[in-house]
Amino acid sequence: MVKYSLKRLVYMIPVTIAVVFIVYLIMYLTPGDPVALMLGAEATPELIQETREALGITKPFLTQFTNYVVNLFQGDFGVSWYTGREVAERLFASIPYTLILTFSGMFVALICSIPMGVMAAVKQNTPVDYIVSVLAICGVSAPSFWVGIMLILLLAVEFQLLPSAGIDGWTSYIMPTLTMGFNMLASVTRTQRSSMLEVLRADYIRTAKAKGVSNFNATYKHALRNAIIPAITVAGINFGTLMAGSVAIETVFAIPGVGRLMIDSIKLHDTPTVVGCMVFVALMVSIINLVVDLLYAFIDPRIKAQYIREGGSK
Amino acid sequence: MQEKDYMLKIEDLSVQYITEDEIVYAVNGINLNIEKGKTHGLVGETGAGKTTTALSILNLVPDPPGKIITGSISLDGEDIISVDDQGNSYPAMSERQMEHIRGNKVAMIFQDPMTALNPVFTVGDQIAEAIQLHEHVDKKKAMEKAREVLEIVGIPGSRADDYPHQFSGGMKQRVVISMALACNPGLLIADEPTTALDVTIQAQVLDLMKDLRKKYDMALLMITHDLGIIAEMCDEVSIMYAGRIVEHGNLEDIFDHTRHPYTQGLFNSLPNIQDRKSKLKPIRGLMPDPSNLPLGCSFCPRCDYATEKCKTEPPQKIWLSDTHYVECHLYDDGSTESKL
Amino acid sequence: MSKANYQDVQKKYKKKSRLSEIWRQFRKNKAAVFGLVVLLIIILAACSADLFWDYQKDACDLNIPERLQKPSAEHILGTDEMGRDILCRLVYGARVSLRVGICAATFALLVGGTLGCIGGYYGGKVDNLIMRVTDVLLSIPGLLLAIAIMSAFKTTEFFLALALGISYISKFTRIVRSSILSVRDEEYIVAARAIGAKDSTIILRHILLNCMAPILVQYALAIGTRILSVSTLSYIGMGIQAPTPDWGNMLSGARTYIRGNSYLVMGPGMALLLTICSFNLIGDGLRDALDPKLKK
Repeated sequence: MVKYSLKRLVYMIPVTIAVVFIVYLIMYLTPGDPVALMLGAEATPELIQETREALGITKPFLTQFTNYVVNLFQGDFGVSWYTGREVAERLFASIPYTLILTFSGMFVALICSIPMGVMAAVKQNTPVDYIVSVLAICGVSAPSFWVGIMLILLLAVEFQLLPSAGIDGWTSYIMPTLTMGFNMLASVTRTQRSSMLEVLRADYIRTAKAKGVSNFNATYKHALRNAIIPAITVAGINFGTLMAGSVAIETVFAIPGVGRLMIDSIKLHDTPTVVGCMVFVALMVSIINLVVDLLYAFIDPRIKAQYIREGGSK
Repeated sequence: MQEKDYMLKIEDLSVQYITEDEIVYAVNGINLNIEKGKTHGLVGETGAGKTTTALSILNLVPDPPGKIITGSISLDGEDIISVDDQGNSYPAMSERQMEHIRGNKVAMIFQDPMTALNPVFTVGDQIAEAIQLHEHVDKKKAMEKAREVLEIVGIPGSRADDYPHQFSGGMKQRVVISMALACNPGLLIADEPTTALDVTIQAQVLDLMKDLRKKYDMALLMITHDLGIIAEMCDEVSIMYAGRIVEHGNLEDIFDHTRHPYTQGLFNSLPNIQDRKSKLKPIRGLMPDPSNLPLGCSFCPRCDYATEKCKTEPPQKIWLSDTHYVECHLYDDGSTESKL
Repeated sequence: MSKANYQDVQKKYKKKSRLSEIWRQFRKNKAAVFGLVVLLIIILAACSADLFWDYQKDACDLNIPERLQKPSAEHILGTDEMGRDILCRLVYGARVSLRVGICAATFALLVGGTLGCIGGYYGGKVDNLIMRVTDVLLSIPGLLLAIAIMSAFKTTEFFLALALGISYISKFTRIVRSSILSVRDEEYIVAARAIGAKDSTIILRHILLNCMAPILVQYALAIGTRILSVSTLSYIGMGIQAPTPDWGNMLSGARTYIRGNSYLVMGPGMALLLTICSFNLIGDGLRDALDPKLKK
């Protein structure tokens, strides 16, 4: 198990480099001159050229890329092409906002969706099931930024309970968290419902009942543990979507998180900042995927056995 | 005929699966009695209603869509289910009481051992769970007993901590058997316990079951489509076709005095080891769609002896001797000699 | 009737009955039928927009005197912050969303599907390479990848569809590859290979036909998510640019005025919800109809 985890952690290094490569390449191909943007209209051509050389923009793509990667592994995110200051400074200032939002959103989604999905499955084809299903299909279909706007209309404009934008104390996180969680809540609920329906029909549930296990225990002890695996998978896959969604949600609620920083930097053609943001997101996604995979092993002994085999053989 | 000591009595049981599209007539009024300590064989093709019958005994017919329409089932003198002609069911037992019966008085072994065990719990846990439920002992005692029952079916007790995926198919079936035996049930239902296994493993598992049945003096309902298993293990046999028992008798009645054309067809479908050159004579056609049964005798479309009467009138039960009955119009005239 | 001819007829009959069986199953699912009807209405509206409005004059040009009018008989959904009829812009916005969404999903299906086929069928080094690239692409959330790509492109519909398509390729690669792996070693495939069928025939006729179900379902869902992404990109200003009407940029334009004018965000929001919902419902319906195992 430890071996398997280590292998996965080491595997993140090439993935990160590849992510840097892709994003750097895209930014390199993007037309427009960041230095001209940074220095404004009055800058002389000589000054612009000088600054370009100082920032290393004139070097060929591969040299720029290699330098960036070498620096990155020394913990150096480079210097912003727009502000001229350390990228790490602004990036690390934005990370807490995004982390609080994504994790609280995920937490809210998980603690609500799993009971809802189980309930809908157990009470299949009853009003409870229909309500949950309709809610879930709306949740996966509604754009999160629109849900955010609707929440603002309801809770900030209509009832004036919560601040509508910006960060001002913990109450400011309530609406963004709900908005974040809503989509994941819906997709995990749907998965939990359908996997539960499938597992409830499995032979081993019948075996359990045949030996005298009550309906309740057959559902919550025997079935849930098997049915929760697909739900966790979906939650893990959706974590990336959640992080990406923060781009729009941070815009709606005017939160200075990583998503906002990235959009602003893209518009300003500030490559080091954009790449820094992307590396952060890609690392988070990889780590969450690893956590999810390890979680499987604790739930399902077959997967654990598989990891131990894989960890040992290669 | 004196009243015998029955472990299981099923009377006039009918079960249907009712969906939006159709009604599947799975079991259509069968009677089946098993004396204590005897082995009863239930033979039929896939889809004849054997498994539904077995699940009815445990009151585990999946509902919806399954529904017991008529009939009563009693186990060791206690009524489990009774439904009157109007379809009003009298749940003779609450779900709570039923839970107490399942796994305790009557246990079941399922067809496919590969899927019958919960993959996320150790086999020891799964056996111990049954013991804990019915014998009210603590977890540790239950685990100890679980190891003992594993030993009985020929698995080292130390393997109780392994998960199902670490066992082969035959070993899994042994685990399932040990789970069923854990609380010494009075009746064991075995639903094609060897169908999913290799031939050599089949023989081992059957031997094991035979020994254990004797050792614990259980009644056994053996569901199978393999007449060889029946000959080997059973005292009485019921031949099931499209939800009806078409012929019933003791081993000798069925094997040496075969009366129903379907039973004869089953025997003719068996390869003959003595005469290896002989050709098989399979029954022509397929079982009728259980949602659309023929008006008369269900076997009529495949029967070589069918008459006009067979198409329109369902045959009644005709007793040929104290132990042997058949449902076939061939014997309407009261004769007991074979007409085949 | 010659034997070959007879087989042909038989095949045709079988094919038709399978399709009609799928349709019969699909029709039973009321939610899926609802989705299909809603989608058809939206498509019909998008197609007939020119009968009622003039694109340039009604959907794009400013009309300041009539700005921010609440819904009335003349403007059923009211007018926006530039004085344009919201219903009119919604209908033209549907064209953009559907066009870009369908093109992006189709592009992803074709490219991702091909890569998945190659990787799944041939295995070995090619497969390994394709899967590693897919892994990398999957560790960048699709929306962010699309945003990054859009920064290098001009914000036109074509490039938007391309960016949103590229960011979805890896999903299709995975699905097609795993579907192929699940049937590659089935006996009928081995049998086809044994009688000397060409690789392309085996892939296209035997394998793909047998794993159509998950791919088709994913395609329906992909269109939904692509439309969602179009609106998100437009909302943050990286997609369709004003004055071209798009549901996302309509919402971002309205954001400043929502106090007291909540009707501004109802129309585009509901349009998005209904459109994406209909694709999701159709996808669910297809899955249930195509996969008899999951039938309730």
